Amino acid sequence: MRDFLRRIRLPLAFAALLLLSTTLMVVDRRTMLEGGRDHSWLSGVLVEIAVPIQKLIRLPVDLLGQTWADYVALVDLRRDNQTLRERVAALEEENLQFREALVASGNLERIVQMRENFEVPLLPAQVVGQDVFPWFRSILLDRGRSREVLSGMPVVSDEGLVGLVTATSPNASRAMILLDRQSAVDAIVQRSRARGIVRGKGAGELEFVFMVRGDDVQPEDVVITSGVGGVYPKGLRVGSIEAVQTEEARLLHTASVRPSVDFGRIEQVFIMLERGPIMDLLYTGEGDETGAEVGPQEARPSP
Amino acid sequence: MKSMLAIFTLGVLALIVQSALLNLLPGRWVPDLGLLIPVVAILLVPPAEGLLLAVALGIGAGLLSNALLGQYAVVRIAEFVVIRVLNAQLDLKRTLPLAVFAFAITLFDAAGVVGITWLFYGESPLPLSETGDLLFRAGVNGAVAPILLAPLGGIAERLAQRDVRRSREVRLDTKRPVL
Repeated sequence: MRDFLRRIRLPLAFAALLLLSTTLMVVDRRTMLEGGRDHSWLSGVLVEIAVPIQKLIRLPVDLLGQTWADYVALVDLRRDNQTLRERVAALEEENLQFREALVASGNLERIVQMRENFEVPLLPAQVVGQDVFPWFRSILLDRGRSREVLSGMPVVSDEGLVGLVTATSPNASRAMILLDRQSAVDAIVQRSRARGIVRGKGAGELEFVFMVRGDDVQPEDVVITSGVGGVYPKGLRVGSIEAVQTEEARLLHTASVRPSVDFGRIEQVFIMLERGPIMDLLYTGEGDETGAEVGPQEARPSP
Repeated sequence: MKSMLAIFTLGVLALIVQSALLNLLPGRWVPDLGLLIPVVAILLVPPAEGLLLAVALGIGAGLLSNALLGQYAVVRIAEFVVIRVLNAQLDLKRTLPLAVFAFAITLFDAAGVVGITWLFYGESPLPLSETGDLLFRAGVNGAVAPILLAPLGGIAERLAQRDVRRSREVRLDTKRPVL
């Protein structure tokens, strides 16, 4: 009997591990589809271990960059300063003119209200790691629940929208970036207000899917978040249109979008410490345990 | 058992380092340690331990990624079968065969991930435009795999010898009276 068991040990282990892995996959996918409240403590523990190590690996690179910024790059500082001062003066004057025009049209109060709605506390966070596999686009941040970061909060940088927090642990969080195939953002073209969905393609560019409306979308148009869907606030820069693919016979047209954020060099981001109403509904009751993990699918268009 | 635990710890550390390096270097230049360490380990440790190690590291990779949990474990199981079959025919522990095999298994790994993602999401995670990067990465993996063989082999051998020595000592103490 013992010999028999020893002989079938490997096939038995093979079958058991295959079953375990497949079950994990199915459960994970189902959790995502149901809106996602997968409290994986193991993921949280691993991320908590990973962040200090990754910070340590980053340290020499950061020190080198700091030295460069503090000494070598200062050569051009005076000239840049002068140019920026002139630019600020020009922008201030332009701003004043716009304000005058808005007061004249009676819209200022509405805009002030909108800004108040939009302004949310921003928490700076450092990107310490990227997804271990390049086709799944996520970043690891060094801020977690101890700093009030929760799943479903938008992540931005000075260049525009970065993505969405999808998993948190006490001192770290993971954010899915716009390039991920699971990412979908309700967006509008700033110029023509043409509305559509910006989807990640897994590669370096995004795809804008929109309804046929003549010449509403043109190359170099800026795409911003629409605020619809309750995930991202309105007006965050997503990217700019590179090329429009139109086929007369199709109802939905697509355009490739160049992201405004350079995801290859992203170092510092800001987490918006308020999440949209839909995200709040989705994640109600979440955040007390380690490693809350989800896949946001709310804005994903049906195939 | 100890060698398995040591390689597992090393594998998890390698995943963390890989994630940090991907943030500092272009992705195509960073070797896929999450793949190479289980591949090399399967060649070095007994079959059952190799299988367990591959699955454990696959799940670990899933925890540090946005992929489905368990997705990489399933791919590692398929890779385990391929490695065992091929290693019986060819000696994959030599430098050149291992380098060529690491190149090929990177493509096999990609096909596995694409297949599973297609099954669950109805679309591939790998855009055609990234095929060049994949081939380049496979080349980097091919170059790095033989370098990993020596240290991992050393760890596995040393710990396995220590285990054997200890089990012999225990046997001497308990079963045979020493005069």
